Amino acid sequence: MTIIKVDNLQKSFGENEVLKSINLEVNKGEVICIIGPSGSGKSTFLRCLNGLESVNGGHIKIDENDLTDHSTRIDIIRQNIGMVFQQFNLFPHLTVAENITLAPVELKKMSKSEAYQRALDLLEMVGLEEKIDDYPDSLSGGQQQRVAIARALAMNPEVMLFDEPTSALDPEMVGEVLGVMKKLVDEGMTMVIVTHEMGFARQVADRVIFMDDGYIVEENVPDKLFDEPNEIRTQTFLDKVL
Amino acid sequence: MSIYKKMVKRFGILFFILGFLLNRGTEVSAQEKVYIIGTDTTYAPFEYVDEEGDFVGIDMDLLEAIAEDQGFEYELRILGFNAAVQALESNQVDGVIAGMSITDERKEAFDFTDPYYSSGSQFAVLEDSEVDSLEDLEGKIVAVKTGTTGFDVATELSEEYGFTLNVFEDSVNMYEDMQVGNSVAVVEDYPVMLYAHSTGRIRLKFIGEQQAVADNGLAVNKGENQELLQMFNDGLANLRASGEYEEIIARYLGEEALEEENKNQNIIVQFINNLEPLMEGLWQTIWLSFVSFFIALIFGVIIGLMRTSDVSLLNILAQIYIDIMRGSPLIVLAFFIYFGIPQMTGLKFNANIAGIITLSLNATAYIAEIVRGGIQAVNKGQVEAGKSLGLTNSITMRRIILPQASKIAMPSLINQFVITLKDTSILSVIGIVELTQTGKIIIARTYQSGSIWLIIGAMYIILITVLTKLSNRLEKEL
Repeated sequence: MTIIKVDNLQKSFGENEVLKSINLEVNKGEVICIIGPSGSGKSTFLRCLNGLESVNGGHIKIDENDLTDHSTRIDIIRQNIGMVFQQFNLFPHLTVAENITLAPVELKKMSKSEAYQRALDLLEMVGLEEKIDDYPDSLSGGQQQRVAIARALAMNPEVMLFDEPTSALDPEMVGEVLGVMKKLVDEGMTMVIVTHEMGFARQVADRVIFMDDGYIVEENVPDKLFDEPNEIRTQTFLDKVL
Repeated sequence: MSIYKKMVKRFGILFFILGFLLNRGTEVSAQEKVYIIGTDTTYAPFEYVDEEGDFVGIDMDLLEAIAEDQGFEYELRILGFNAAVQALESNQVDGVIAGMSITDERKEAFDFTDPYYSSGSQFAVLEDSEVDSLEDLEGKIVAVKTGTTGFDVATELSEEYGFTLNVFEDSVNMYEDMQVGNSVAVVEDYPVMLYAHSTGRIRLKFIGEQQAVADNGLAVNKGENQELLQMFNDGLANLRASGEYEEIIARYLGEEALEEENKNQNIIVQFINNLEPLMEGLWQTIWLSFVSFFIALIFGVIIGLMRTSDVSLLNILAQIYIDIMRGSPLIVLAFFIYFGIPQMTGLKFNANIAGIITLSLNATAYIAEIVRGGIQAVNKGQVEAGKSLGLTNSITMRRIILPQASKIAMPSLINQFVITLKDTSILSVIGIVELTQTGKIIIARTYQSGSIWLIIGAMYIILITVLTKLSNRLEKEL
């Protein structure tokens, strides 16, 4: 079943064409990893998927709702799409528990006590239940990112988007975040991950997408894409990073 | 409690306060006409605040006696001479009594009562001055008070005798200017000078003759309040017949008034002697700043939000408002609201309301900019994190942006409050007797500007220091 359907997507920042013509379908339960050099448009593409960037052409359908249609209530679509940022973006004035329960309670998805219980369960899943009453400032980068994942999961989204979730972390903390993401993969979550962790992509992805210069250059199952790429550009990129 | 309920509650308090203030101005007028009479703040012996803190003088005693004789009621507005005349023109007051000379020019705009006193403008120098005649004033500076007959006289004679003018709003400033040596002479109505000289407040030497001797009368707008004129004239005639008129004049200019008063009391004695008016002035300053700032905070947040809005119309409107308010001096705004709007529209405010409107309008613009700055200083990632959770714009604003923005903005807001508090002193120009105006009035009586301004300054500093320390502590707890 198709959850995300992207059709001829175009995006420019002023004169700069960042996405030229992107087509992609994501099925339920699929894990997609997007790789590519910096400036290739992969983060911008991910941000288009939940409407954080407006688009200049084409269509993005999430469960048949077209994000590019102005009558679409984007905030309601987003309740169904969790997002994890490179810089975590936890709310510094709220405790870990409040960070996680804010959206479900404000949007009347859960009562306060239900949301708190859900927060406890999620924190247990990411291994941080003892931090529930702490403020983000007192957590390490890896811990903050794990809380951010729990926060995104609190709304029970159908899809999770990850925008370079480990790029801002010290190397010794990358593992704990990838570990949590691996758990989600095992639970069957639909995920779109922009990443530089090639090993992780090879391990978890159903499909890997290589983007360069605003296009999807190549997509394939991980072993094929990493070991026998069809395109010279893919090969050149992989030679540099592997 | 939802934000809407909170807003309703807050606006409710606001309207309650406004309603209370508006009521105070109008509650008496229901029964029978109470005449609003504007007067000068200090123009001894015509009007001034005496040692006991009572507002007295020839004008005041005459008005009181005549009102009693004729059985009408009046309410005083102590505005300063120019402000009183402007208030009359804009129908904020029914009449003005302020040792006002009856001139042909003024008769075009106003109707006057029968004269109750006659006097002219007099040049004077300090008793020990070397200047003995108008001729000696060549190349010197003469202090005058704007809008007075003395000003006209001095302007006319300045070319003939070759002196230049320093123009002041208040008699006190005029004398101070001479005492510190900036100007060598002052020009003022003879009885005013005679009073100041005789009571030993300032020792003067009169030079030249009285100029442009004219009659003093109470003024009303042309064609209006004729019954007030009639009653004043009838009452004045009765007082003259009964001898009470002579008593009143003698009270201020006769031998009994000419006692040397205590001079150069030390600062502590000055403070204790004037404790009551000082505290009243302080209280006026405090409540005006708090009410104005509270109102400005509400509208400042609204306009600040408009400034950060994606809707360009709201954004532009907010920008225009901010540009206008930042571009206009507070004193101009105060004059426009208190004198200009009534004259243009007939809509009247009492001085406190006008003062609060002035301060709030002004502070709203600055608070809006502080709010905008605070909102824009919140990391962009915070908005994106909120949006990505499916939060609406208003929830994102209320739960994520504003709490962080208000923390960022707090020091600037405290600073703005201090500015607003100090700006209340500007409201003295529309006759509000706040702390600064209180100082002016006390000095007008005592001529002790050094110690009184020290006291007033110290009171501001203590008040502001206490309030900022309190709010800094509050800020830390947030």
